[in-house]
Amino acid sequence: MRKNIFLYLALACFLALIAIFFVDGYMGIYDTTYVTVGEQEQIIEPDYWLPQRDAPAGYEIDYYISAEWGQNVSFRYEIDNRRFASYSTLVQASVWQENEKLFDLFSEEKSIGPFDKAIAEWELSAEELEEPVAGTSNQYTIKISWGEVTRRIVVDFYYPEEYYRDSVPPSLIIE
Amino acid sequence: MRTYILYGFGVLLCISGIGYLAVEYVKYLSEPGRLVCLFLIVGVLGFLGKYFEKIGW
Repeated sequence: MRKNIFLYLALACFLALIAIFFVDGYMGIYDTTYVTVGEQEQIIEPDYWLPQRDAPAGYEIDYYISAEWGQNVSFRYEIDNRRFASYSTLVQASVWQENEKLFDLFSEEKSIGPFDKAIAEWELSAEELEEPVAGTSNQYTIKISWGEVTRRIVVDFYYPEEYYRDSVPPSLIIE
Repeated sequence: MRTYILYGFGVLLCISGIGYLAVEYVKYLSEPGRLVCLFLIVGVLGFLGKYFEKIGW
């Protein structure tokens, strides 16, 4: 026993280390967002929003995606409850422009069991948005909120190339 | 001798396990959690060093 005392102490420290990683690092409530535009899917992992956790109040991080005007943008939002207790929350998603709320995309009460996940899905259709005049802002902010968490995803709509081709004299177009 | 080889394997597995946890989850740890982890890693390496010193390595 006395001969191996340092080995046992090292083992105790190792187990404490594992416990801290599990309790402080793994456990909690995490959210992952999957955004699909056309055939391309982008995954916003929970660690993307981490700087917001340690930042002063009011500091918000945006995630930017771009889509061609007319394309639908699909969202799949996953809340992972890595706790021993159930978690209930109201998940809301809405479209904003210049700090003005335009309309709601999704609103549903979700109850998530221990170590379980809840998935919310919705779609941002270009038909619901006002077509911007060339030269004005064509960005929309999708605010996703649940509990005290708010995520901001900025969707930047751009015009397809043909739009510009029609407004540019043919002599200036380089084929 | 065989026992020590097994211990060596055990130590290597533990260190690689900690490495995996660090890569995956250290970003989610709070500041106090990171500090305690630092002390515990120093403890693990220090105690292992003392153990090997005691057995004459």
